[in-house]
Amino acid sequence: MDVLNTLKRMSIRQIAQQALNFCLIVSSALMIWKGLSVVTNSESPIVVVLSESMEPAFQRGDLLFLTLGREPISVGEICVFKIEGKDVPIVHRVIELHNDAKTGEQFILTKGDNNPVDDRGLYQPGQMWIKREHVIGRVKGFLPYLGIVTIILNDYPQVKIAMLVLLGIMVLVNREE
Amino acid sequence: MYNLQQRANAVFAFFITVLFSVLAAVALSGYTQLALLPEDATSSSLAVRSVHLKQGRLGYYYDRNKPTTELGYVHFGMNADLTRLFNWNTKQLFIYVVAEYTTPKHDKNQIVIWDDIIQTKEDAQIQFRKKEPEYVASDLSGKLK
Repeated sequence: MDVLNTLKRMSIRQIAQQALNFCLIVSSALMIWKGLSVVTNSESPIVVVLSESMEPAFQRGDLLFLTLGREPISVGEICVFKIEGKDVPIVHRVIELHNDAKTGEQFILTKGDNNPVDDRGLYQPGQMWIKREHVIGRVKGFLPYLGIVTIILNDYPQVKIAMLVLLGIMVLVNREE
Repeated sequence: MYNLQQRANAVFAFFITVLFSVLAAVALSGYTQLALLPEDATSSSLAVRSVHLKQGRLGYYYDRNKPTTELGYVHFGMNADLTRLFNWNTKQLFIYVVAEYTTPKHDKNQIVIWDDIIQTKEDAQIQFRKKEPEYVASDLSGKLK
């Protein structure tokens, strides 16, 4: 009710101003994300670790910062890659690599530090290698714990909706004096 | 003039600023300590003890029609002292032994045959006389010789 009263008291000009502010916040967030994408050459420069397969290096809920770069991938690097037909990207380490001399095509085999065996069981049936085009980025840094927020938001969609509504109201109602 | 929300907001913003400044300093200190290490801070030597070859198939989907590949088992000996790589901000060392070679068709082939995660300074001295490989080596051509 409080919210409605405040909205009622605002003139059309003020409401328009607030809506503009709201759009500005959304679009600048989008611009930062896309800008990061361009700088790092990676389609998603920040990812959240969802599994325990890279323990003790990365735990569930860690934020990872990725770049892709142009130079070829080498063994020992931790890569984030997507398997065709699966939408969740995987963060694992490269343990085997064969570089084609003519085309530069890379045949890559990965394994999670905490897994007993390599990833051929995770690839598509019969797929022996992943290629450069499956790789989204290489891990360059990490920030622990923060990603747990996105895990909670994804596991409980109600929380996500509640938070979005709350944020929207706050932005619309909060007037700059 | 200032209500509770504004005060809480200011305190929280300050907290976040301090937290991230400290985190940046911590990250920087880790990098500088590693960069300041002299070239000969770590020592390691590696020797191949024996190589066994077997015929078999790779992967976990058993397929009788797939041709078999030569699988190489490289036993190796190793001496390494990596204790100086540990500073107060070291979480783990991931060490791996790589077999690297070139063939006319593939100019760079790298195969990890063994790896280990070291988390304490006490474990950073490694001595093996003859160690079994963790991973089998194979080439795309199916032949190793």
